[in-house]
Amino acid sequence: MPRLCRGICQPAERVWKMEPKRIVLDVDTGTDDAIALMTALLAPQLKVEAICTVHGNTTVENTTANTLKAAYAVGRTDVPVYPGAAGPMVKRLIPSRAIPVPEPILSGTAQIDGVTVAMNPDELPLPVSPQQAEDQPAAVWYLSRLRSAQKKATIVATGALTNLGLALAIDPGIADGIEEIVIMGGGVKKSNITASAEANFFKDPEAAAIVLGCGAPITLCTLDATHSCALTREHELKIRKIGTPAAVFTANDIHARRESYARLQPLERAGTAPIHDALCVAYLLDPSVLTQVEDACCTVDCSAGISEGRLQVDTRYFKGKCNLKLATQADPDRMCDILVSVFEKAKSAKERGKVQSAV
Amino acid sequence: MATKVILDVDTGSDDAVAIMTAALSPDIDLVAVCTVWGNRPIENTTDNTLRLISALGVDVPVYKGCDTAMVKYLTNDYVENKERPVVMYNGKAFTMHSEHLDLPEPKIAPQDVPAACFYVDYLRHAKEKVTLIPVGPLTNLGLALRIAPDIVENIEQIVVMGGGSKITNCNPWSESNIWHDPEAAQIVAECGAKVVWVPLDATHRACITMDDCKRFREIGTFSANFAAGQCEQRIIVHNAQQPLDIPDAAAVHDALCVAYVIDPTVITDLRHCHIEIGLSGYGEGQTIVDQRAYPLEKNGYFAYDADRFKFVDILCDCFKRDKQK
Repeated sequence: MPRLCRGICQPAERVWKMEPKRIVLDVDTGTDDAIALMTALLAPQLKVEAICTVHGNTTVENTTANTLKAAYAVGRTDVPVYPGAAGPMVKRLIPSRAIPVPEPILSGTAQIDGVTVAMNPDELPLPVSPQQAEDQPAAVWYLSRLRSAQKKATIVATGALTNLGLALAIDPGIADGIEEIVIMGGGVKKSNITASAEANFFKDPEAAAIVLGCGAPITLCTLDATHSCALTREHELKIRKIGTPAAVFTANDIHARRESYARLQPLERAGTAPIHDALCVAYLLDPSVLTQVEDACCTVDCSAGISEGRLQVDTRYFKGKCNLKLATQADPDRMCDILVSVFEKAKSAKERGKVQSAV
Repeated sequence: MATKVILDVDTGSDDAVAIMTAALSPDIDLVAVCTVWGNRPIENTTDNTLRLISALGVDVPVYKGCDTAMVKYLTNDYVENKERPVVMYNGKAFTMHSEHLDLPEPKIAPQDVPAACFYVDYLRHAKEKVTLIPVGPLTNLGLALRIAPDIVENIEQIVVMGGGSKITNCNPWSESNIWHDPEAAQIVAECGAKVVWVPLDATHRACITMDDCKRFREIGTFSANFAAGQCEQRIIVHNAQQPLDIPDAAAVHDALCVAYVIDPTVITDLRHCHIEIGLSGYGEGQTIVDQRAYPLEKNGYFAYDADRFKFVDILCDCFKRDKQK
């Protein structure tokens, strides 16, 4: 029988499985990073090759420990964690460019109206992982991984972009080894850390500018997109009901963020909260979660003025060459469904596993 | 015991003299040579370095480094460096640094690892402290220090060719190596390791004359002759563009750093002071030495003077050891 015919005749015998997408996470964990990380580790469509950590929400020592904890919370101690840069590439060389805001709004723990709000506590309230971080620094790992002839990597970067900035400064050629970089950063009509800038870009504008200009395909999930898909109390309850550690952690964070946002940065839809970083992973699982995406020519302001760290979108008719896909809107119900689907499938897979091992 | 040294070069005529001196000195154990952009693009500086290491017949790995500054060119807030014109002499064209060193094709290739990654990996695992001699833009080291600030624990000292207090060269306020990557230079300045700055103030004092070149040629080895050629080329360009106090002489900046590691007394006026680098506008790349009576914390050593006779003696001693003719 000809080969073609056999394939057509026996479709039912072949369980066609798509190879999972290989991804690398670059995170400053961070509760929303933790949710992104847990979702990626639990989703069978993704294979997390490695996790790089970076300064940002808190020190790199804390974000590294928090990353190990978040992976351990979903039962994983086998994904290598590479500790990254402790500070920005050059920003701190100039005293006037120091981070200006006391930021209980964005990280740490604050008492607001008698309520303890911990959006990004220095130490995540999760059990300590027995796993150790690797010795190799994140930027060095990127170089060895991306210069080798292995498969291209998709990178999800949800903190300051220092590691990739350093690696690209050492060898711009590594951009050829990148399938796509999905970034949480910048804002078009939204900002949070200063009047002009979003925190991830502001914390290392030079690194952000290097990454946006590197030539690899980029999808940028801006603050506009993450705010537009802020989750509600109903979403929180739906996720909490699943009851697994990842679901409960996510529901708790939605709750804490709802409390915090209601008091400090109320959104258009009352009582909602954005889980910024998780949107990047949701996009990889289902691109349709991003409802407004356009090709754009963007860079990041690296000067020491009031626009430092601002995402600059070239809005001219005769704009420069488009270097990224700019996402400015996303669907909150879809985002919730994606998280619920991943958490539930992981739960039932685990239960099946238990039944099988009992048999 | 020989001092373990890593050179970081943008070869480069004076870099070539520095490499030969380090490779031949019995007092230096040359662990590796990193290359960087600067005098010429990275492809040229790396190729020139490989050619020279091959010609010397020494077994030293070469790590290719960065092709541009860490961040300088991300904004338009920098002053253009003006190319100086070619000098015509006896019907031939001369520049301070030839695009290609006049040497055969290299027999060796650069290592697979980029220079900055080599610094991180080597220094983190070094069993004894290592002296670094960067004589080009400080990009490789700046990036390595950002990736792994803990590498300073294994650095004995960093002897930098760069900067100038009373003398500058690439614009009214800055010296070329520092101007090329001011941010990287500032990272090195404040990294916490012992940093010795060998600026133009010292290298112009340790000039090499036509008579010194004759002395090199009398030695007759490959390195002595090649060094003489490089120095003669530099003297022609110096005479035309930046004549020194002593006639028919050239500064051979980079080699002075190596000579200092071999014999620190070659630097005759070394002052402990606060040094920082100008990072923007009309001050970009300037080496600022805090001259006040109440200076900021002293973070480095700045060389103001050098003994040119001792310098040439050190070079001659090394070139004499060369087995290549």
